[in-house]
Amino acid sequence: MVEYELRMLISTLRLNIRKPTYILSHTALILTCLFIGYSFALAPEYFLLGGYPQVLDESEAIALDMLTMPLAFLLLYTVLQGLFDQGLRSYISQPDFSILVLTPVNSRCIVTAKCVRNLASRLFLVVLAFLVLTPISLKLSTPPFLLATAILSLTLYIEFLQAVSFAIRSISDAFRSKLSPRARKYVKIIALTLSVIVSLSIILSEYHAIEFWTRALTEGTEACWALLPSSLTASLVLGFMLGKAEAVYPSLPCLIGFLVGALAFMYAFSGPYHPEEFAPRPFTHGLRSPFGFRIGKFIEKCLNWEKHSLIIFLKDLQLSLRGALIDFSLLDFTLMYAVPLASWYLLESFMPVQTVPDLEAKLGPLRAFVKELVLLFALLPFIPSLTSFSREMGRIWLLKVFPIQNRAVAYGKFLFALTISTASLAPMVLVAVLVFQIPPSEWVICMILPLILLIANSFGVLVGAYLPPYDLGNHMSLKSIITFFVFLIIVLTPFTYIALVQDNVSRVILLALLALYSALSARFFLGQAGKGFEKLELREILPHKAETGDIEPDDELKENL
Amino acid sequence: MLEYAIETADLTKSFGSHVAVDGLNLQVEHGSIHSLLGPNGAGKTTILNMLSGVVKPTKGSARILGYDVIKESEKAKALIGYLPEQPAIYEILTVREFLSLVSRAYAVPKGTLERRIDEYLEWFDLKRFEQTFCGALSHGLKQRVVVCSVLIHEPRVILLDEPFYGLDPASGRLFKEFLRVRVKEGGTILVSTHVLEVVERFCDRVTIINSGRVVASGSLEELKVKAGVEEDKTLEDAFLALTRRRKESQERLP
Repeated sequence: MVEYELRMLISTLRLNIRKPTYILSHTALILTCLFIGYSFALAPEYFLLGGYPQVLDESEAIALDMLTMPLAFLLLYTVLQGLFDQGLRSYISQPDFSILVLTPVNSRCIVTAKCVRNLASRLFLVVLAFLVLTPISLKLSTPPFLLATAILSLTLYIEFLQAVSFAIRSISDAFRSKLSPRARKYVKIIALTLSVIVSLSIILSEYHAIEFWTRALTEGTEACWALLPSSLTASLVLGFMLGKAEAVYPSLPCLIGFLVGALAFMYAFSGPYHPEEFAPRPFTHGLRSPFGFRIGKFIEKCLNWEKHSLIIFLKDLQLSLRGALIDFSLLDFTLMYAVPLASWYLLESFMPVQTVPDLEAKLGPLRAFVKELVLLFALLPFIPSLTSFSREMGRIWLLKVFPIQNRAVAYGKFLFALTISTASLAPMVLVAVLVFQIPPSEWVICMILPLILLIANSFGVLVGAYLPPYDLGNHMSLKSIITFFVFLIIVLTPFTYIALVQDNVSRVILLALLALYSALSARFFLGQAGKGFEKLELREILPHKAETGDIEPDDELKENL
Repeated sequence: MLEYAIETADLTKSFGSHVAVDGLNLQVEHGSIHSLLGPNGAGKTTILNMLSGVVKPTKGSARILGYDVIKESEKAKALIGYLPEQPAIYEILTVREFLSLVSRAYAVPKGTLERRIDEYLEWFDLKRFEQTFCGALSHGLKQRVVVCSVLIHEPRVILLDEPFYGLDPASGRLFKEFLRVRVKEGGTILVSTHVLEVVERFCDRVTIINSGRVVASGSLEELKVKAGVEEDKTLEDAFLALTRRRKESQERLP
């Protein structure tokens, strides 16, 4: 099975390298990595710590913390994704799984083979790590052994993240499949309550000096922190940068141990699966009238359904609310915010940011903006507007046959995305303002968030209409890369100016200009999105051609075959 | 009054280098049940998709009751009821909510909306499922819900792609009766199906499509004459003769 999957991987690669878009996106990625590597090596003055690399010797602990932080975030993100991604289902639900699982091949072998394929497909990242680290190595004249170790450690860490993600998915799937509907309900309630308690205790501890976290975070916690794979990888990379070989021997075997452990967990819990496990879950009798139904009815009565864009908006809202209440989405959503908030708070309390000398002072008026930006970046992958049309899947025909203007459909989708992103970001920002004690003088900067959301969501709808199916999980696709860079240019760049302005009058003027810019851009994007929706065809939005019903020959496929 | 309810002129649809529908000129008379017949991949579904607005034609034009499906798409769509071959619906809407969504999108008057939903639920024996999620229904029941959604705004032109697939005999008969009543009231139906028996019993006129082109069009009797088969032969014989002849002439082309 492993051989079959690897062959499939090679075939996919062969097909992909004929696509100009694939070549373009990967070339862009390679050039970006080279640029980063050479920037670090040749222009050290732009590095946050002046006097690099000498300063690293002087403040090794700070440098280690600075490196550990992003890697730890990556670990946290992976764990969250693993936990909240509806288990192994999303990964294994591939077109061939239902066929493979009916063959005499052991299901566990299939799962393992799929995972091996996935791990192998990530090896491109090794090349990227090589491109970043080699210029630095040349500049620092580090021994090749240390360069190899640094690349190996990054590779091991990435593989570990993959493996741990699958392991968590396997475990959570095994756990969830054992839960009765009633138990699932209780789990949701408990987790939601815990999330609220955590958020409240964070806020209270900030204002009333409960010192809850200080007591909890003892030296033992810090020792555990140092043993995390992210910290081990950071120490290995730092060892490479400082030319110190002593960190290699304890850290590298530990990292290998973590990877082996994650793979073992993945294998142990992948278990024998039946195709039924991966089929869409049928709705049971007990779900006939859930809470979401009543919410839907309430919305239907309260709001005007006559306007076309509102029909689309309310439909999406109703479906989202109900979907969230039926499965674990709402729980995932809440935890997805509660956990990073807690982590962000901990980061502020005792972790690396505090140890960077005069960071707060240096940030000055940028402080609120930087923090908001971090929150915004945390939200970016979840911007619902990008999948506005892809989410419809085969149901897009309904929107197409409705006698509704294409522009109205785009507006409806935009309204929904704006509502969801505002509703999800607003509490986060409010809590952040309280937790980080952002002074009222800096609140004016918070005004840019609604504008960013306005322009970001309209842009997302445009991308969603022109580039379906949009897969939020595939960060390496050309669509994701282009979207991200264009987003940076047209959305974030104009907004960075406001943070650089010192006096409030200029800020207000700039805000007014940005509001105008946002309104005009949103109008333009949505107009174009309507045109994109008009051109959008059913076969484009479906991930598998067979679902269209009318199977048209795929020219590219024919050519490739 | 317009002569034809559906009229296409040089209607073409290409997917890359593949031409799915090639310069189609089709006329469907008012108050008739017209069938599209053709082998797999002939382009029948693409024709219906273009007429309903799901797919944009590459070339040519199409009119529904005088409205251009591209330039006046909203007006044309408001008059159409389209049933695709494999309709996907919102699984976490209840049956009533789904019908309500469709009705509102088609601007069914607020005063009559609930009453009309009730009527259709009664007619198609779906009343007991009205608060059930569409996703919890069996395939046949889902098909009945979609049929209701196609008829609920009382369209003047109905486009059907393999409409009786998945329906039990009773529901199938009920649906056919509904369609006949709608035709008597002046409605027009264009149906694509592979079931020749349905065409023989149900349709007034037939257009045979092959490789995206019209092979022959007319009443059942006219088709038999065009195919050169005897009168006592079935539509199947005429269909096979016409499509075979077309294939042979295509093969002779350089």
